[in-house]
Amino acid sequence: MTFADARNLDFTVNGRAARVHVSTQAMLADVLREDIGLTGTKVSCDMQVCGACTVLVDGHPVSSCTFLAVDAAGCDVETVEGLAEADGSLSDLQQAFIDHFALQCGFCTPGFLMMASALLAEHPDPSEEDVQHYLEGNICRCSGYRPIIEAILAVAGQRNRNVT
Amino acid sequence: MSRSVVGHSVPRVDGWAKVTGAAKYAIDMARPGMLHGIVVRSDRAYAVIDSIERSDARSVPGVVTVVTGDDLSGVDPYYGHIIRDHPVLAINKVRFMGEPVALVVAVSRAAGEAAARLIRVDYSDLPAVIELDEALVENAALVHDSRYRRGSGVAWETNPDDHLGTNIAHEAHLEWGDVDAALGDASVVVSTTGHFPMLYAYAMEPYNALADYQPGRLHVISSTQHPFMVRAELARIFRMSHGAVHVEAPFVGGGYGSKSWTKVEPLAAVGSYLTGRPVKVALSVEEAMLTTRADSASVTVHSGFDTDGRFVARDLVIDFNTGAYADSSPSILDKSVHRAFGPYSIPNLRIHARLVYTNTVPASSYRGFGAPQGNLACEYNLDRAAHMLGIDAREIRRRNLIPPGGQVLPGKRPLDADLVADLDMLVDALEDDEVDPPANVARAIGFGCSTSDAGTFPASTAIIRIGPEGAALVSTGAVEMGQGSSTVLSQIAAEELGLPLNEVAFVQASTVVGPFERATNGSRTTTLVGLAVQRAARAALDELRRMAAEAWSVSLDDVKAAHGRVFAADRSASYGEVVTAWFGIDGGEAIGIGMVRPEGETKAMPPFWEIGMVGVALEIDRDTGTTRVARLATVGDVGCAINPATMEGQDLGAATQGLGGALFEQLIYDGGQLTNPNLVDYRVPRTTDMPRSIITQLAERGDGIGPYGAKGGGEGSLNPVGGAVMSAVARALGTWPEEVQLPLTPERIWRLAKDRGR
Amino acid sequence: MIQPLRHTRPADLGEALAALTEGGTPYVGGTELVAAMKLGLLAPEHLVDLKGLPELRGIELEGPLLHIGAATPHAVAERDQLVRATLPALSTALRSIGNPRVRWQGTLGGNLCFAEPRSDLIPVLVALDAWLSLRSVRGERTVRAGDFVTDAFVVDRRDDELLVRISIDTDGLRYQRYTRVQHVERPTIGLAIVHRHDEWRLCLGSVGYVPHLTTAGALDALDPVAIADAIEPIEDAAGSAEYKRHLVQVLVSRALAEAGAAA
Repeated sequence: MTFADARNLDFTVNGRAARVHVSTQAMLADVLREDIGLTGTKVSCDMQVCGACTVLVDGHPVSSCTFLAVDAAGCDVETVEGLAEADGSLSDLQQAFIDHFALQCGFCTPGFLMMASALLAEHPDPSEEDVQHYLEGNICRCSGYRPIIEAILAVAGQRNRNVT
Repeated sequence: MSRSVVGHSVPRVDGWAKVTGAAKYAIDMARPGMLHGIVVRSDRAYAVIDSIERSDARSVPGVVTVVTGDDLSGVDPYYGHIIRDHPVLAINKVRFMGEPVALVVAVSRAAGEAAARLIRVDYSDLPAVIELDEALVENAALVHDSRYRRGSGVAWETNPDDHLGTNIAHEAHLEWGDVDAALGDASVVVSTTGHFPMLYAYAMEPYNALADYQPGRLHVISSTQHPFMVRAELARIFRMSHGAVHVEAPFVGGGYGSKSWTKVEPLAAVGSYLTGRPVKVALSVEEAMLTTRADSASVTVHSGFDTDGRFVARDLVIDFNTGAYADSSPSILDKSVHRAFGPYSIPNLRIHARLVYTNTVPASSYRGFGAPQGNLACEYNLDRAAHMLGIDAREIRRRNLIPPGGQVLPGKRPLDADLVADLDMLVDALEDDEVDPPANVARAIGFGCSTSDAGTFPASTAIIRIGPEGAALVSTGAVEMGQGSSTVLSQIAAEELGLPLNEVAFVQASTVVGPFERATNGSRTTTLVGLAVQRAARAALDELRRMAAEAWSVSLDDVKAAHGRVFAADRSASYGEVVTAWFGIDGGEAIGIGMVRPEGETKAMPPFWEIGMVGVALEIDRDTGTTRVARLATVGDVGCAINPATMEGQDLGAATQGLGGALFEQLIYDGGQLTNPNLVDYRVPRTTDMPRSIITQLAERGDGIGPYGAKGGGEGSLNPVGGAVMSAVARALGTWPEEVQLPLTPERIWRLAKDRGR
Repeated sequence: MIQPLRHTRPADLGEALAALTEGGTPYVGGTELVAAMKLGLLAPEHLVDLKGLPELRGIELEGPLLHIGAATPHAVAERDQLVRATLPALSTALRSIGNPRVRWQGTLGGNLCFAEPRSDLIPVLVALDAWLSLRSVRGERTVRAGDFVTDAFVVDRRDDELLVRISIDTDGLRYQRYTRVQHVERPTIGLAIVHRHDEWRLCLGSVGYVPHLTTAGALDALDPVAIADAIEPIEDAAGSAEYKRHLVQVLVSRALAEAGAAA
């Protein structure tokens, strides 16, 4: 006989402590969108291949649509809502997406921003091919991808200039 | 002429909301007390419903009700804007695998899905027709055998009863001259058959609607391109006045035509109607793929040429496989007829087209609206002819392209574009690429043209409201689905009002909050809604002038308004000051209304001809069929690009979808079952499919009737992609088959190379 | 929504093995398991989360043997210095899996035990002749990677056994390479070729329902045509059997030519 199980989930979301009572059946995407109200993370394919639901868990990108909410216990979860500064100013990636017209309908945009964030953490100076390969698991149906890649390369270039 | 806002690639006005996650789509909406509607779907392609057992489902805790086609007697359960053949839930029969049979309404998705699994449907199978030839054979099983009514308020030249006893939903015919005689006299006749696959638009936000029915009031939030058409349909279903039905479209997560007309709104509304609570129906991508697709087609063309490669005649047969319900496809078929023969002067033409019902997912509009289906066969046919006649592909087109001001279709607007100039821009960009591929790689270019009677019917209204701060609110029924309408329309308003863009705010489409808009489709918004916004802005300025003239006791003729201020001989005031002075309070509004209908510049149809000019350079590994796009080139002939960056982005996005349909995408049926309704088995273009080199260009000759000479764009760059890719493959492999099929998967290309003997 | 289930998180290996004997289903990343549960293909009543077990993690060299904990995510193993230095073909295969999200969440053990035919990892482990260590309350046993996958989605692991470790002998490796053809969402053909001591081992993955291994004493004893003929390809959207056999032939020929040139 199977029975539904629920428990408290303690984790941090965009740097703030959160406790949500979740079912063992819930996915992280559901908890973020419905229990916490952070609807920036989107669900599209619901099978890990489109990337719209990408969030960072302990700094690494995951498909939140297929990530058990209970697996987020004790983890740091970052969503698109956490990218901007506390005063509301946009991150360099967010600004670059606007400047390079790297979005149209915007449904894939949160997922791409989180992937880009993880990409630049892993590869601070990526080639165009590196960027294409890293984003292979993210679908954009509107843009044809070129402006997204340009935006990310521009940010990488800017960050590397700032360092030197 | 230099303008301050229009013609500049200003950042999108919805950019901030979309990069911060603040942008709300219909899928993000919720209401207190909201219930969830879970759809139970047919697992038969064609069957009579003998019984539906729902008592087990009803007793699952959390289930409020289970609705079937038997519970719809209180409403008018059939919808369809042209042919009202589509029941909200299956009634008596199911006509395709995946058709909604029942709706479980529950307090949670978990409860609803658990209950849905317990519903038992007994069917008696009927012989199903899946392919065109099965549906067209004499004595074929009939998908429909009823008399249906025509859709609400739309004057289409179709009588649903004309084809009773067949699976033909609609026919279209176009003819001039004497095709048979001309073909008989032609120097050469080239014949081609092109098969266009079933495609899925894949808007990343799947269909969803939140409906709240109360007696006398129905409120629906939907991911829809056409809130006003949905309103009309819902009003008729529930026997309510239009004013009692409120349909809102927030940001839409992709549309591409696939969110045109009515889709899941009646389901959600029926759930709410029967429970008295708000009901949300949110489909998965798999369910969305079982909701609608693009029409597949077989097109056969015989083209007669003289020795110089000029057309003497074209004879076409077009058959569309439109699935179980007609939706917008009768109109798509009509347009396909207009668009198939290409932007060429053709002295003798005959096209016969049939829209055929089958027991498959119902087809409806997708970017291009009937143009891509015909373009594949006809542009490839022209390239095949060029090859046979030894004429360069660009040259044969030059000799046949309709000149500016020439006739495309009798009685229609003369061509408002310079196609030869566009073609030169395109082919120059393609040919400018000297590369030596390795030995096993074959490389060639292919390109194509199209012209579409786009824009659809001109009926648009806009309202501009200037408030006490002098800032403006722009209200239209246009839906922002990524194409940038909110930005472009704001730019036009800002330019006309002389305000900075950040003092113009945009209101999302709502049938109650804002004014009427026929639809967001047909690449119409910049041209037609743009005109309405332009007129509304001028009317708002006139209103400010009237207010100032009264306040200052001067003649209206002496008052001017521009750049945020109103002027008379010796005084001026800001827009805001004029408003507050007139009302005598720190409040009030100056309102301007703009309307567009078929008169003046919008009288001739179509409002504009949408041009498609796209080319590719392909590199094909002969041994494996693996194909890379080395270069993609597009030309957007749009008269005036209000926002050049967003326009080029549209062209790239459209061409990318076109490449998907040309190289990877196809819905595959095995008998009556759709085998790949998911994003793993239906492959769309990815970052790694990006062409190595992309050149997007704009041709802005000010030759449109839209604001600042604008014409529509955004579909044109998809239309010629299929034919261009097919011709490039043929050229690369040196094989020009008479019958062609998309998508050109690696296996198909390998077989073409193999059969050629190379 | 997946079916209701119990979820426990054992603190050590003993607790985990006990949970398995009671019918629990082990998982780490869940990228394949949870996906199958969402599709309704599997409905385990009790999930046992192995993420907290140190015995299942870590990459270390013991003499010539490289041990990789089964719960090591693909992305972690892929960039490990030891792996890159001694097993570059494995690193390549791991870098090819899915997308970065799958690579961070998914593990070598999960990929092996799920035995999805279109795995980039399994043919490389077979070609490298990896050994897999399985533990249960009854003790420990080892299985050769080439013997582990017995059918599509079927492996030689009893329900109460846990895959703990993957061990690869790094001695005598003279050549190794992983290449892949992918035209759709999943790999069409993965080809791993390894030259260890005097044996050439060529393993094809993704094209058939199980990985296909061919061995020979010399490179020129490997025959692309014979290998292609011996394969039973999966017929699907990526191609017909005839096309896939042809692709195998082409890919094998190219791999052999490259290996020969490297010698």
